[in-house]
Amino acid sequence: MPSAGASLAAPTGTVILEVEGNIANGNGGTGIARFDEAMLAALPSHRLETSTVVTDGTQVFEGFLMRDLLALLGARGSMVAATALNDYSVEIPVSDFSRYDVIVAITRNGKRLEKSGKGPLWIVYPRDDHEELQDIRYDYRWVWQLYRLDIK
Amino acid sequence: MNRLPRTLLGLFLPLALIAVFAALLLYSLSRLAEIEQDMRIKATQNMLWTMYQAHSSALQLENVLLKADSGAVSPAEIERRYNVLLSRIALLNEGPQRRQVEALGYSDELDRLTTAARSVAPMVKDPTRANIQEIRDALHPFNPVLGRAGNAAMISEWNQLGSRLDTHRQKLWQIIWLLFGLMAAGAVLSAYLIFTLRQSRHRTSLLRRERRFSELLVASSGDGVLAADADGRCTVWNDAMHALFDVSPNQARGASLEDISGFFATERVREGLQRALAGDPFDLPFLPFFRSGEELPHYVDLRLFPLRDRDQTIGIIGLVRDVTDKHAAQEAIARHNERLEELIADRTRELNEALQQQRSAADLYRNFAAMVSHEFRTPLAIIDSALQRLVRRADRVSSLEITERATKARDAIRRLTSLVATTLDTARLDAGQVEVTCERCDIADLAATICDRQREASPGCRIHLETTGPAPAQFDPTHAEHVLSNLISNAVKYAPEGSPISVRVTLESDLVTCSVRNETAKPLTDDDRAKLFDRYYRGSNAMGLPGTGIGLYMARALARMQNGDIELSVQEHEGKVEFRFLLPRIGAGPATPSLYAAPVHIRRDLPVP
Repeated sequence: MPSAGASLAAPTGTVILEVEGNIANGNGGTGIARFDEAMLAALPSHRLETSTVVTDGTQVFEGFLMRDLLALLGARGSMVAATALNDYSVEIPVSDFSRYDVIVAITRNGKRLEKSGKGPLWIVYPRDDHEELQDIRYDYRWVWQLYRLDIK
Repeated sequence: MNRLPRTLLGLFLPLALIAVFAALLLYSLSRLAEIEQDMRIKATQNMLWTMYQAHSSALQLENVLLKADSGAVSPAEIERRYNVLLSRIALLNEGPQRRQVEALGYSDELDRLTTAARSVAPMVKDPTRANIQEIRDALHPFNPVLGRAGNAAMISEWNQLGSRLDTHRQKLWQIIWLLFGLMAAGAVLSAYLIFTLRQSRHRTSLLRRERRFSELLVASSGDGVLAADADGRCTVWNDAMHALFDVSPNQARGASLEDISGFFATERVREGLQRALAGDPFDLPFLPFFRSGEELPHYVDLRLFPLRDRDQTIGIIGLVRDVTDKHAAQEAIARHNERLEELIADRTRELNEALQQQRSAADLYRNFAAMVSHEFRTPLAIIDSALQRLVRRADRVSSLEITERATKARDAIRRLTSLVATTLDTARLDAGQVEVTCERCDIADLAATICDRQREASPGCRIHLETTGPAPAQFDPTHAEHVLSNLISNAVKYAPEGSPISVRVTLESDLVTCSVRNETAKPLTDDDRAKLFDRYYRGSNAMGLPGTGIGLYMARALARMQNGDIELSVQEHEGKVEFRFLLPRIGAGPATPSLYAAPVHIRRDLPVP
């Protein structure tokens, strides 16, 4: 885990995720961090198996923990605004990420999420592990086609 | 008859009510739980929003394509919008959404839109003017189809919502009715509780009244009432106990009975308490009980009863009654009875004595009759035969013979006269008409006189008189002479012919003894010795000899009247009988009046007539 204050390496491939706002470590000017596929793949991988409200049966997701990403960036804030390709935007309390193992999924059932589906990234809650997460007020936080995070 | 159903009702009514209460509550809760489950809204049910998003993404792509004509939009933006549209189509084709679409009846249209959207992918990669136009043509059906599908989704969702609300309302109404039922059951239960509470209060007040009444009874009872628990600690102590033991109820309650009074520590009371605690009633009558400062005991009856609670003895009740008066009365009766018994014994003894005397008197008269018939008949027969002889031989009787016959007859007459005199003497003696006048005389002189007279009367007899000088004594000379004559004539009568008769006068320390001894052929029997001095008794050796059986009786009676006595001394081995005439001596030793106070027969311990 890079220590706070250390600058993040610059992306070399296509940028998949942009993070803006109150972060300590960036790589694209003040308060901006950009990630390519390789950089995201380098984050500690986390596997999560859960059902979702928009699919049948349980799905196996793999990606990184949201709190790992925020820690990597030295993020300080209480809310994270997640924005999807269709401009859908939702504000999520940072406390969700410490309380639950919320991941940013890169693959579903071993296959890379596609931009024409739920890709490039999908915020996934461990819905089956916690009953309180089986609620529409958490369901709307499952942002797919995620490409941008604002730390507030 | 009526009690059992009422008890069952009292038991089962509340139980039934509680069961109804619980059932209604459970049913209400299950209904509420159903509603709670139903309240969870699934995102998939939000088809209106999904349709809107798909419609919106299609419109935005179209919008971007319009702008692309003028070259104001980058190919990347076109691709982004296209990807968003594809994502929306993919979402609609995903399991739950796909089923909703089918339910709405739009699956065929969705398939056509999907095919159309996917078919333009190569044109999106190469957004030439012609390709853009082709894409726009392909997107043309999206707008009306997604618009209609959105309407259908809205109607379907509202219908679903309405029906769900109906169901919820129905269930809520059920719950409301159930709550009314609950309230009713609760009301009945409360009413029942209030009813039983009132009954219980009523019973409590009744019990209290009864208790007050029994307390009054205990307090006003004349008998002492006490109660104690199983450890022997006093719980009830009434005023009568206070008066009896001088311990107030306040002092007594809570204290151990043995501490209250030593009375309860006595062995019998302690045993009684233990027996009562073991479950047996126990009565202790007439217990002595000493009150402090009093010397005479009180007597109490203590009755102990076990106090039971179901099968267990939890204490005792004691009733104490002061029976001192009753005890005294019983003792008086006992004493009276004792006195009566003594009285009866005395009377019986007197009666027995009287009977004995009566029998002796009867014996006396029988003996008298026997004596008279024998002793009177003999001389009469002698006289009769003498006279008959004289009558028969009247012509040839000589004067000598007359004299001889007449002398025989006179002897017989003298004997008869003597008999009559003796009998009269006895009668005089019995009637207390014999007078005794004692004076100082010499018994030796008297003895010598009588011996001389006896020698004259019976010339053949050998009488030896032995004296040691004067022997003065206090006696009546007439009676003493009678006594001595009797003894000496007896000796002559019963001694064998020609045997010596010894008359000896001796002086002892306080007595003068004149003993007359003779030999005898027939020794006296034990019976003779015991009865020899009885009136009319004649010894076994007197057979064939004249006599009345009065002589010795009379002699002893006269001797005793002069404070003297007559003793019989038998020298069996020598074949001799000795009678001693004892008289108080005068002039020898200290002449004390006391010498005469007690008669000789008492001093010598001789049998009393």
